Amino acid sequence: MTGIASRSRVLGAVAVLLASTVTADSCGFENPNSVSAQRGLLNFAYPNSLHVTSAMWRAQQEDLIERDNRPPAVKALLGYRWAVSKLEVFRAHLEKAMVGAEAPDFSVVLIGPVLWSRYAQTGGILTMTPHLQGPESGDVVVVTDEPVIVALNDGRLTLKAAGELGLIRYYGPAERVKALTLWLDGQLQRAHANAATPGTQMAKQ
Amino acid sequence: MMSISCRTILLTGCALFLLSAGATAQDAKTASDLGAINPEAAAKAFPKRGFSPYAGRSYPTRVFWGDQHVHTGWSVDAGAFGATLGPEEALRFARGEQVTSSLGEPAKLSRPLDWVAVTDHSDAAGVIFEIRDGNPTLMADPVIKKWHDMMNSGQGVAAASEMIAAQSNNRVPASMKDPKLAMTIWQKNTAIMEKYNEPGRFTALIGYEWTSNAGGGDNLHRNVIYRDGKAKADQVLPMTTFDSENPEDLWKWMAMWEAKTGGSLLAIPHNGNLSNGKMFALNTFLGNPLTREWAEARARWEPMYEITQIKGDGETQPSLSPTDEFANFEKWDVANLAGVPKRPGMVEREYARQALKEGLKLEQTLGVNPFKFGFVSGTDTHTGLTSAEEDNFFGKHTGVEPSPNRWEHVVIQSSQVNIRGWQMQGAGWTGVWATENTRASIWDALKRKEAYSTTGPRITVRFFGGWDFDPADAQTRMPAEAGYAKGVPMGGDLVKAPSGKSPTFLLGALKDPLSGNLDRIQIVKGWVDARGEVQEKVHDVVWSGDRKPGTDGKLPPVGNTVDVANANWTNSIGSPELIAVWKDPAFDPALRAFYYARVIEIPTPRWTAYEAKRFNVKMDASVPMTVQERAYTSPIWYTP
Repeated sequence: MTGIASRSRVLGAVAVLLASTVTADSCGFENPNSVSAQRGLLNFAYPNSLHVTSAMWRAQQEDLIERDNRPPAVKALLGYRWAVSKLEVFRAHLEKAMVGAEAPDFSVVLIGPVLWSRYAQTGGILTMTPHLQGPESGDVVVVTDEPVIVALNDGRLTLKAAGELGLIRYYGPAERVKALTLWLDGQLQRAHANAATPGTQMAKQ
Repeated sequence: MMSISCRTILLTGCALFLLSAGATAQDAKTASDLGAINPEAAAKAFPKRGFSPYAGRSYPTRVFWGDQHVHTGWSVDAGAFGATLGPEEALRFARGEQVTSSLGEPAKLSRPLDWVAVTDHSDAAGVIFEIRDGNPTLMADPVIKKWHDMMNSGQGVAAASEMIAAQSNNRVPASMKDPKLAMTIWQKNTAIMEKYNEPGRFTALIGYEWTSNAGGGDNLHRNVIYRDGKAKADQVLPMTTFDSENPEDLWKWMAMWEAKTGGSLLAIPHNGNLSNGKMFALNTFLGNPLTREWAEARARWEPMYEITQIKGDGETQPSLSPTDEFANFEKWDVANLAGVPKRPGMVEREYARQALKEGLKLEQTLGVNPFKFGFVSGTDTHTGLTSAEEDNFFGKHTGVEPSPNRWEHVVIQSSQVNIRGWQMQGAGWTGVWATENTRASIWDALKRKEAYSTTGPRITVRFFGGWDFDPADAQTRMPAEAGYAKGVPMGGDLVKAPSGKSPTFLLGALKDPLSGNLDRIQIVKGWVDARGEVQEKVHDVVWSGDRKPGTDGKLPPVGNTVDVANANWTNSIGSPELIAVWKDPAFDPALRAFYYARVIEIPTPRWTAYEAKRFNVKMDASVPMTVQERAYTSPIWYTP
């Protein structure tokens, strides 16, 4: 075999390997065998994004966020629906606190199951589309995990604290990241302030 | 009378000394005690040892600890699992520095290692890193430049998708196919090794892994280790499995490399427990009968074997060694790398002890023993972090770096196979008896098999074979004096037994100061009997405490002090050191045999116990929480 042919086969192997991680239309809930590779690629695509993993267990040990102690069988059976419900509560919090400012579109990846979802504003309505193959071009990418979303939803954790603890990381052009974090922070603060106001209903998880 | 005789002798001695001194002073002024003493003349004047018992020793006196099986993010699979640490970080970690793991965790060894070989898969090593980091040659291509820009602007997944589409449509940019690119990456690797190689302080061996899976997950990987430096290594691109998956072609490549460069190589086969019967098959890769030439090539190029590592222990297996109570240790014996289940007859061709026995048998028919290898350990880490400490274990790949759930992580799963994270073994490292910490000295020790394997603890082990060791040789603080003077060290040969003599062995071990006490030292003997059948026997040679073997000949267990809940133990049982001389009680000078020592520690907490405590997780009852760490010396062979 010639050198060039060899190189082609080598690259072919790389491509096959990556294909199994990128083009598969599954998340870790659907295909637990592939989740490590799917997650691993994130560290290349979004440098140090997997640092969220270590930050997660540290925060859990300090009881800053909850730990998912459900048995593996339960997680396998209900994990996807559970995660999507948390992402939906997150969307509802953000939408209810919207006061006219246009929301930047963004994609969220939950790093445990590598579950992608997209948040986009259309006509004053914030939509959340779960179970995507990856982010939309131009979106800011938000890397975090389900327990962090839960903690943000219930006000146990602020967005600022989550960032400082390394529990949430953003990827995209700096000005877009800044705009998104300001918007998210404002929305969540308003949402929790509203929840604390008598007579205001908040979506509860 | 006695008093006079003594006085006479003393006076005679003084006279001789004075005469001697006088003659020396007259004959050679440089040897006078006036002015500077000539060291050469002084050495001649005192040919016997002087005051210091350590002066003039030429044999290896130190164990140098290392790992010759380390992958970084440059390996395609490691990168795909998220490893972002490259060779430089791997070397810094191995030499004792603190680095940040790919998951963001500060990582540091309890003690530095002395040497390491970074052995990334040669297939496409480092290509994705080069695109991400902007290799100038690649950046000249606008398509690759675009991918680079996308990877660095948060669009890495889209970049990967485009790369895959390009490959599928046969539109991969030409520069990515160029062997010059592979050479650029290889030279970058060897430059890093040169940078960190500090003779006398820390050795960075150049190496790579040739990763044959025999087409379907049958693990025939080999780590190719260079004795020489960058100047020679850079002359030829490493062999890849896309050139060939046949080990014989690797040996031919090694011969070609040595002829071209004048350098030296050796290859170390990966633990064969996932080879589905192929690592020690009794035919060639292509299914042909073994020949003398084949046996010579294997014995020449593969003097060492990786007996234990993260993916399980490969010494032996309960079905192969049913009377060995320590055989069922950290076993991964259900499938190959791809999850293809084993069939009957496969494990017989996968484990080291059985292969050593078969080697003796093959020597009788081929004239050469193809399986005449010593033992090393490697971690085979794919994180860039060589970690074999139970309380500091960073796992096989980045997907199983420390986290509360890694114990239940799916490692290999198919319809019949389910290997989980807790089955990873926190192992292992290689101890090398070398005269100095240099590439040449460490490589030479590996080549002559004067090295041994441990599952992690840095147990110091000496093992010598000869015909005349006696118990007094074990009663000194310098047993190696007798060991080298009267016999051969581990990896050596005994031939043609003197009439009426049986082989004797001097063996001793010192505990790792940070690990458990020692339970016992055993000698494992294998031989081919007069009927041509392979046999084995494990002898308890020396042990801690006052235990007595039972009627079955078995020594009672040493006990267990492990406090699993707190991941702790006490060294209130066992012994910090054990040493003995042993004579083979059933030696037949007409029969080929091998002997190796196995040192067993008392039970200590397994990494799973540390993890359960650290993360406060409750693992399944089937998950082992204790381990009896061990060391395997390279064998000594007897040939009639």
